[in-house]
Amino acid sequence: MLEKEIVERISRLPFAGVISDENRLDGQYIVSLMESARAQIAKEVYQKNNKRLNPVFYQKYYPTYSEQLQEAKTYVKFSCPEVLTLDSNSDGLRYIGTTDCSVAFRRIWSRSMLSTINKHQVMSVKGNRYTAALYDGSAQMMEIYGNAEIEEIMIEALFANPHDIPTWNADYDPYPFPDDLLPLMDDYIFRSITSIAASVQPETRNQYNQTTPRRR
Amino acid sequence: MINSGTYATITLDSIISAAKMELKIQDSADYDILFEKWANQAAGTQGLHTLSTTIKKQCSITVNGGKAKLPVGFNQLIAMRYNTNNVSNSSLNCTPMLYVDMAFLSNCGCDTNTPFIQNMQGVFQINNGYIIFYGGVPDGVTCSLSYFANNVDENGLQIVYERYERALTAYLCYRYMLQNLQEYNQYAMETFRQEWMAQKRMLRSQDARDSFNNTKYQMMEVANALVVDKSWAAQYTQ
Repeated sequence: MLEKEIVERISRLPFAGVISDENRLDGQYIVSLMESARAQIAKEVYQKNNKRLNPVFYQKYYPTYSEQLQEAKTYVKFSCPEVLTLDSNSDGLRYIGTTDCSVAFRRIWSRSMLSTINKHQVMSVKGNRYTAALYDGSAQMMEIYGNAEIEEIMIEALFANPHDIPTWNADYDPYPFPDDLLPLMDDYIFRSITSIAASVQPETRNQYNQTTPRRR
Repeated sequence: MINSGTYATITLDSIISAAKMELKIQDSADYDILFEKWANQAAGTQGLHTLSTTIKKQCSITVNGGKAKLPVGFNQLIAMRYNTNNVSNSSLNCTPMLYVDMAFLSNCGCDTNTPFIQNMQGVFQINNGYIIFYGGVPDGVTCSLSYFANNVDENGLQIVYERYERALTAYLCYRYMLQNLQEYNQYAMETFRQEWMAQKRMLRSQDARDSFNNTKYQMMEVANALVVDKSWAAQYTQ
């Protein structure tokens, strides 16, 4: 389904399918809820489903090489949008490698790990024996070690915000969420909306009664 | 192309790929660095340690500053000779002399007493990964080495024969499960460990059997030659 179709579907949920201009929910707000719901559902499904996810969740990202991003001769930097975390062992990055998918770069989880492996003769990336990728989440950068000449890579991942991927067009491309899980998303968002509504205290008769009575 | 002959080799990546499929973690490269380390460790002298993990090799080395760097995986010198293309040093060209580690070669009882074989002691020594010449060998001179080496590639990683695959895959699975105990049960882990142990024993015995057969055939050839072809046998009996 397209993003706008899901937004329309969800915006009708609290009003049993009947909406007017007065009770219509803000579209951007719903998209934001959809992103949160998508992340939460992906995590739950991944953990329950033997660490498998429907491939619809993943998006392909082809970062552009930029000379201005480069800081050192030992590695190449590419921009990479935020990715989701699936469990304690894995994040949403499924494939980082060449664009023809023939070589998947090995993952370096952290700078600390990079330092550790470089002290080992077999695991070290210094000898350019293999290519490895380090994702810097705070800077949203992908650093490629072991091949200083590389200018084209492909990243397939579960990105936190589908709109961050330039090749994805919300008007034409299906939203990266499987149709069979839409009821889960409905449920998640409906609960979010109704819990907010329930937390707002209306002005009731009881509230009026709690005030101190006037003395004559 | 699948080449399943005796000397067919596969890469460590091939082992890693097989292990990842067994463990159902094929959609992630998170553990590949560690997998390679485990596979290299298991395939070499720290793991399988079969007869085929050590092989005879030959290479050419160049003298620089009176010494020459030994090749990756070098274990034990068999013999060295100067190459015949040392144009700038004609005195060393085609020297009919083989420098050997006499103590090593004669240890098995072989008679190495010929005028063209000289003990390496007095000509060079092997020290800390280098052949260090005592003098008189200018820079650029190349020599050919025959040596026993760990069966490794140019990066020092173990070369893996195809028949190792099952053993190494089981080892990788076992080590991965050991590290992720919360995700796998003890039975599965123990099964892989048993498979690794059994395969290791089998590979060692296979290599020992092949080595014995090779030796046996050589002995039979010599014995037959003595009976049927005295002229051919002469070279063995001199």
